[in-house]
Amino acid sequence: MNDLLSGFATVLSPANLLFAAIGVTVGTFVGVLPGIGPALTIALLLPITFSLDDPVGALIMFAGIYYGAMYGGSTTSILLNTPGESASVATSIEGHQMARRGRARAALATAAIGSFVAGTISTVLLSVIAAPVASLATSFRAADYFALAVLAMVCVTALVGRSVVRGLLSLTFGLFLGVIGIDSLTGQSRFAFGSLELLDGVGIVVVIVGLFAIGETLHAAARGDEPSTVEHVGSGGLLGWLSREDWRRSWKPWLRGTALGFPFGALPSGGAELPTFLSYTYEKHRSAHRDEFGKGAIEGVAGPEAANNASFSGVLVPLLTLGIPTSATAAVLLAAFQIFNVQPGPQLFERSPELVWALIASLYVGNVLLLILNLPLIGLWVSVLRIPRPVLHSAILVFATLGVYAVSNSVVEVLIAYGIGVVGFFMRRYDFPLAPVILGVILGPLMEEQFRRALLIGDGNLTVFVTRPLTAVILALAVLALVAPYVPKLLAKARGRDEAPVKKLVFAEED
Amino acid sequence: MTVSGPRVVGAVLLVCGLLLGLTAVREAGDGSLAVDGPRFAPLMVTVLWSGLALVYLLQPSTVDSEPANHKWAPVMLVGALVAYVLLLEPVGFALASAAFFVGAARILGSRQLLRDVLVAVPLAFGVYLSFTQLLDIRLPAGVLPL
Repeated sequence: MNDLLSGFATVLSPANLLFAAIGVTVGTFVGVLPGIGPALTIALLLPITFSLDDPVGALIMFAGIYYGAMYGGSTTSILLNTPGESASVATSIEGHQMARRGRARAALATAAIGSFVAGTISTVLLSVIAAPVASLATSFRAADYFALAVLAMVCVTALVGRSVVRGLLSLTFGLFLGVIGIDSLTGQSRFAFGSLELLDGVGIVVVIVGLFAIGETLHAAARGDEPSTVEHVGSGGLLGWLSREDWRRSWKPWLRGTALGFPFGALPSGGAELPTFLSYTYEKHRSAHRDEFGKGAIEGVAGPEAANNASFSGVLVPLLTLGIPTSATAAVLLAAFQIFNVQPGPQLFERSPELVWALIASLYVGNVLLLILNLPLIGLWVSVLRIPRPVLHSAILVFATLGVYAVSNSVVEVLIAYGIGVVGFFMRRYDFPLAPVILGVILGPLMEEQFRRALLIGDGNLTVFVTRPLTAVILALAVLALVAPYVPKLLAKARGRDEAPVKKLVFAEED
Repeated sequence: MTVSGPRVVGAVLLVCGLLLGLTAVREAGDGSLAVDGPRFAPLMVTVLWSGLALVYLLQPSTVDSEPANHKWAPVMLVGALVAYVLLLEPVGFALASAAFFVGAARILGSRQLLRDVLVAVPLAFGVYLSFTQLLDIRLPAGVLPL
C-alpha cells in the first residue's frame, strides 16, 4: 500500500502528469487511424520516448499511449470494422452494426465508459495481486510454461470460429511464421531462404499490419464499394451520449466483462482474445435482447470492450511478474522496457519497486485522463464515418506502409507485410479465423523454448510433462478444450436424438 | 459458392506445406532431428500443416463469402503497393505517398481526381513533416529538398 502511495507521489508530479497526458493524446490520435492498432501505435511511438533519460517518465508515457491507442483502436473497430488487433475483433462485431444503424455515438460512449470502469477495477486488482504473484512465480517451471502456452492456443483455436480444421490451419500458419529466423537457443537459421530480414524473424507488427490493415483493404477492394452503409448519427440521451436505457443495459456487461477480462488476462497463457469472445458469447446468450444481436446490441459492445480493457491490466501480471508477453501489445511493451534496461520478471519487484509502482499508479491516472479526453471527442471520431471509402482505404494503405517502414527502416519488411496481407485476403475470402495466427506467432516461439528447456532439465525424458501435477492438469484442460465443442453432439447421440440437427457448440463466430 | 475454390485453396496449402516440410528436412542436413533440437519444431509445424491441408482438401466446406465484384482490383492494388514501396526510397516518402494515394483511390473506385489530389498532397506532406519534425522518426526525403 505504501509502495502504491509513493507510486502516486511520483506520477502526480507536474512533469510526469504532462507525460501521461501527452501519451494519452498522441496514443489516441495515432490509434484512431484505421488499421493501426495498439501494438503498432506503441511500436511507432517508441522513438519519441528516447529523448527522455528517466525510465519512469518514459514508462508513464507508455501507459498513456497504451490506453489512448487501445481506445482509439476500439473507435476504428466500431466505426470502420478494421480492428487493429485481435482483442478488438469482438467489440467490432456489434459495435460496427451499431454504427451502421446510426448509433455510433452510443457505441463509442459505452466503450469509453466501460473501459474506464473496467480499467479502474482491474488496476486495483493488479495492485493487490502483482507482488504476491511475483513471489509465487519463482516456483513455475519450464514444463508449466509450455503447458500454459498449449492451453492458450488450443482454447482460442478450438472455441473461436466455425471450423476446427480452418482454425488449426490458421494456427499452424502463425506457428510457421514464429519459427522463421534464428533459433533462440542454438543460433541456427530456419526458413530464412538467404534473406537477412527473414533471419531476424517476422516481427509481430509486420504480421498485424499485413493481416489486418492490408488484408482488410484488399478484401474491401474485391467486394467493391459498398453503398453508404452508415446512417445519420442520432442525437444523444442522458449526459448527451447514452440514454437511460443504454445505461441500464450497459452496466452489468461492464462488470461481467471486467470479471472475465482480468483473470483470463492474468493467466500466463491469457491475452485478450478469449475473454472478449467469452464476454460476447455470454452477453449474446443471456441478453433479453437476443434478437438484436447481429444488428447492433449495446451489450455486445459494453461487455467485450470492458473485458478488453480489464484483460490488459491482467496481461500486465504475467508481463511484469514472469516476463511473459501474452498479447501482441505486451510483446511490444516488453521490447520498450528492454530499451530502458528494465527486465520484467520475478526480480523486478525487488530490484526496482519505485518503477513498478509508478507504472501501476500511472495506469489509474491514464484511465482518468482517457475518459476526460475521449468523451468530448466522440463527435469528432464519429465524423470519420463520412470519409468516402476509396479515400479512407487508400489512407489505410499509406499508414500501414508508413508504420512498417518507420519501425523497420526496410523495404523488404514492407514487402513481407504485403505478402502476409495477400494471405490475409484469402483467409477472409475462405473464412479462416485470424486470431489464431497472431497467437501462433507470439506463443509458438515461447512454447518451443519452454518445451526444449523442460526437456533439458528432464534429461530428454518426455515424462516431465505428465509427472508434475500442475503441468498435467493444465495439459488435461487443453485436451478438454479441444473436445468441448463436440460435447453437445455426443450427448444428443447418446440420448438417441440425432433427428434434431444439433449444432456444434460455437463460442463466437469471428468476423 | 461451389467447392472448387476451397479445393484450390486446399491444394495450394498442401503443396506449400510439403515444400516447406522438404525445406525443413533439407535445412536439418545430416544433423539430428532430436526432439529437443532446433530442427524439431519446423518439422512438427510443417507436418501438421500438410496433414491439416490434406483434411481440408478432402472435406472442403462450402463458404458463403461475399461476391467478388471486382476480381482485378486486389491484383492491381497489390501491384500499386509494390511500386509504391519500391519508389519510397528513391523518390521520397511525401511524393511517393501522394502519387500512390491518388492511384489507389482510383483502383478502389473513386472517380473524383481533384478531390483525391486535394486530400493526398496535404496528407502525405503533413505526415512526412509531423513524423520527421515532431516525432523524430526518419523517413526518406527523396528528390524533394525537405
